[in-house]
Amino acid sequence: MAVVAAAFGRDRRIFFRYRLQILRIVLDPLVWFAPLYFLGRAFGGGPFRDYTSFALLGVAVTSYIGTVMWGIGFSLKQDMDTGVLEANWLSPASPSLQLLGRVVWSLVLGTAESLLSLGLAGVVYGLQGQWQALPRALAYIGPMLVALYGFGLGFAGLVLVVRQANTITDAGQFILSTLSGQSMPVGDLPRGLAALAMALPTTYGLDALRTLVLGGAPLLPLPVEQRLLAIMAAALAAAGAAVFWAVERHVRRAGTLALH
Amino acid sequence: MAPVEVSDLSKRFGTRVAVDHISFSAEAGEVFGLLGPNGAGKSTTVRMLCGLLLPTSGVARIAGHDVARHPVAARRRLGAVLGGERSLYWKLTGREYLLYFAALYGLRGADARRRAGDLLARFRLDDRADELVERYSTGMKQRLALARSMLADPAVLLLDEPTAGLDPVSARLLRDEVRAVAAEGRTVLLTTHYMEEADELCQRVAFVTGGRIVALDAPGALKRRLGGGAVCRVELAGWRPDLSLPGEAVAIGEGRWELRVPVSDPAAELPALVAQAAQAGAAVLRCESVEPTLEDVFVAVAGQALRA
Repeated sequence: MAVVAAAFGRDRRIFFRYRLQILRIVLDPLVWFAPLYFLGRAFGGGPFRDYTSFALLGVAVTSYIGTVMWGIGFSLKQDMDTGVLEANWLSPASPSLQLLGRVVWSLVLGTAESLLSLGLAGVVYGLQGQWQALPRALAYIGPMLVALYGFGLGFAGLVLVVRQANTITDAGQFILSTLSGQSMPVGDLPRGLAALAMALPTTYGLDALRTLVLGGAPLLPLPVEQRLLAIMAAALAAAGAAVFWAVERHVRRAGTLALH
Repeated sequence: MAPVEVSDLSKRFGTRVAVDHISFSAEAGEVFGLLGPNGAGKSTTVRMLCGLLLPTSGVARIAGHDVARHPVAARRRLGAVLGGERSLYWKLTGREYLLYFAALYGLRGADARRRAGDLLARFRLDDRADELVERYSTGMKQRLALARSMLADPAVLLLDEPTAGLDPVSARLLRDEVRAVAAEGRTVLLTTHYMEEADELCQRVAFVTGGRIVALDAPGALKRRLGGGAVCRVELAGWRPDLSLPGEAVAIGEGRWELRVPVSDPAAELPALVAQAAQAGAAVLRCESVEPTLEDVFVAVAGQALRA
């Protein structure tokens, strides 16, 4: 627990030492939401009576994908580049626990960003919906986050192997966000892509949140989505940890820990 | 049981052999040097001793613990400085950096704060302890890395090129620290390609080239192996391998070579050597006889090993 807390504290301190990042958290959502807001105003109607709220929830939830991929995977690559990864792995503390500290900080930061984004967007652009249903949505968002961070552990392992991570991180974030239904209903995707979308935890987490807050019919009955999310959370957390452990052995065998 | 024991250790990367069945041990209180040119296998050996790299075969033990099989137990007794200032978080203060690593080494609360404070004072960083590391000089960063390696009160300290990039004064201060650390009964294993540094610090040195140890002894004993006399250094232009001159020729500049020949009677042998070089067709630019250095020994030993 002390190792997790230490890694959490390290990342928190370093984050706040770059003061412009704090400003970015406030400005980013307003900038990102602006096109969606105007798109909603221009083309809203029919099934998209409140497209703005639909899309804003999409951006708030799928922002965790970016947080996971950049905040865990890519930052591990930065540690590798700067040379601190070796110093960390020289200690007796498990690399998985060190990464868990980073995961927890990333989760706190991601949640703060999402809530702040929704709050700011609500004030600036106006949001409609049953916001009192948000606590109920935690039953879906919780397992979705466990599944997503499990994926993040595996992705971090992949980054340690491929070492040039910018492209896959950027492309992966875009593809996963789009397939999760960030700004369009998953049902409107072509059949092949829709099948892929239905294998993603973020699709169900976002769908459940929208159903509870904005109303409308879910992709699958909500109890089914909840069970699927629980299964995905267990499977991806276990798979992610296993992949990271295997990669840790691999880089110690290949001697690539300090290479970039 | 020696604090550092390496037995028949090898590492292959594909078909390339980086470390080739090396064995040595280092005692408590000893500064042991691994010397050799870049790519000789020194850093690979150190990384295997740290558990950052798994050996292809053989065993490395730290304080009796097999590093590959019991890495956590081994790392609890080990401190290491690899990569110097690259191992630091520049956006933390020196104190925060040490407290973070103290947690990784299992130190908590007041114990961690006390240990970090002691080390900051010991390495003369206490007056800047609450400044960001990015504002430290290279020498201060290297001392902070050394302080971090001492957090767990290790029995063994591994230092990979600790003075690389330091100015002469900072390098001297760091060497003093290394001596002090060894005087406390810790084993220091040092890699360097600065032969004078090894001569000054190490009780024993191992010359590594091509992944193999080609000589291992005390610096004085290694020098005596050259015949106990002197080394004639003859600077030549126009040297070629087929001139069949004795000793080892080292390139020292554009078209210039230095022939290094161990001799027992320099007064008699230096003029003969100069005459022999001139007769072979090389132009003699300068000549002298000097006390042998570790570098002379290394050049002689590595040359023999390469020919073998």
